Parts: sequence; C-alpha cells; structure tokens
Amino acid sequence: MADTRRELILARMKTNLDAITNATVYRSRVEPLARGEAPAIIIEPIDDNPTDTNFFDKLDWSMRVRISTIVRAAIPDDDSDTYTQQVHLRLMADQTVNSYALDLTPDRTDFSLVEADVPLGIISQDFIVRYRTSRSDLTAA
Amino acid sequence: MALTEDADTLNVYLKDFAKSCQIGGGTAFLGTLSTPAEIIGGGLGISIEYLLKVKTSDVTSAVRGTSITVDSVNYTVRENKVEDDGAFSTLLLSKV
Repeated sequence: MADTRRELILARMKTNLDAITNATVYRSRVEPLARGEAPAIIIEPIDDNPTDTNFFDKLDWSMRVRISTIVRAAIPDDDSDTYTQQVHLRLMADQTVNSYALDLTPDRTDFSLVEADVPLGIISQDFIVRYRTSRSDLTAA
Repeated sequence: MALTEDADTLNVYLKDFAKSCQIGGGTAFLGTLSTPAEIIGGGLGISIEYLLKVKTSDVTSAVRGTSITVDSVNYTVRENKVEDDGAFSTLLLSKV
C-alpha cells in the first residue's frame, strides 16, 4: 500500500533534517535519551486537521510537526542555538517539502530546561505543513 | 552509658560500603555513593543522580560547582543537602 501524503511529508522532512551536522536525528523516538546520546533532534507529528476546499473532491490538511532539539549542557538554550537555526534553515530551504505540500510555516518555539546530572534542554520548534489530498484517498493529491 | 555521637561513631555507618572521597587537596573522608537513573524532561531524557552520603562535617565547604573525587573518579557538586539531625548530608553530584 502506498504511503499517505502525510507520511511522505514526514519522511521528507526527516531526510532534510538528516543533513544537520553533529546531532543525531530520530523519527518519533519515544525512549528517553541518555546523557551520551545528546545532542539529538526528534521529528514527530502532533496533529493533522482537514478542511473542505472549494473543490468537492479535495481536502486541505494542516499538520503540526514538532522538531525537538535535545541538548545536555550548562546553558542548554545557548548550546541548542546552533541546532535550532539549522532546523529552521534545512526545513525552510524546502518549503513545499519536495512538492508534497502547499507550504510550510514556522510556528511556536518552546523551551524546557530541566535539572539533571548535566542540565537538559528541550527546545521544540513547531512547523505547520499545509497539504492537499483527495477526499477519498490519502495517498493521492 | 550514654552514646556519644562523634566522628568515630558516625563512621561506623559508612565504613562497610563507603568509598574514599576528597575535596581538592583536603583530607580524605568516607562516603557511600548510589547512582539511580531518573527519567526527566517528560520522558525525553535520563539523568544519573549521583548521591553521595557523607558526614556533614566532612563537606561543609562543598557548594554548587565544587570539585570532588569519589573512589578516584571526578565529580562536581550540584547540591549539598543536610539530612535529619544534621549529622549526615547528601551531596548530589554530576560526573565530569
């Protein structure tokens, strides 16, 4: 069975992020990361909502994708800066996500700093991906 | 006979499982190290909580950032917490 447009978009975004240097990129990793596994970048879908279009046989989708950068450093938000700017750069360089999407827009960024044996920083960058599918088939545009 | 709580008495609690500890070039003292792992950051990270139980009188100078060796391994102090009646303290450490 062919992949949905959603899956194609997520896979392509992961491929784009793989170009980031000195950090490991994971797709939807759910296991906690040990100190030695940072820096790491996790891409995961958050939600995906359809709306009707003017074309009776199409749906426009708005998918929120979260990119979480995980670092371990004395000043985690400072240490993460090099990775978050690369995330933005790599994704915005392909705003149609290999022509699977209508567009891709940065949304909110959240910072979570946590006490640990070496302080943990989780910086989440949300992106909104708008794309179109057939009303009856999620694999077709 | 009254029980006198001095350094010798308190060391009884530490002597069996303790390791040799030292702050800078100071006198070596005993401490028991435990290393439980905690899941932190909403399940995204693991922290090893290096907990060193020591006599309070041995670590009065230990504050955040103080270097300490435990069994010849280097750590820095995150927190220095006095326990119960104050005879013992627990140092929360970070491995260097």
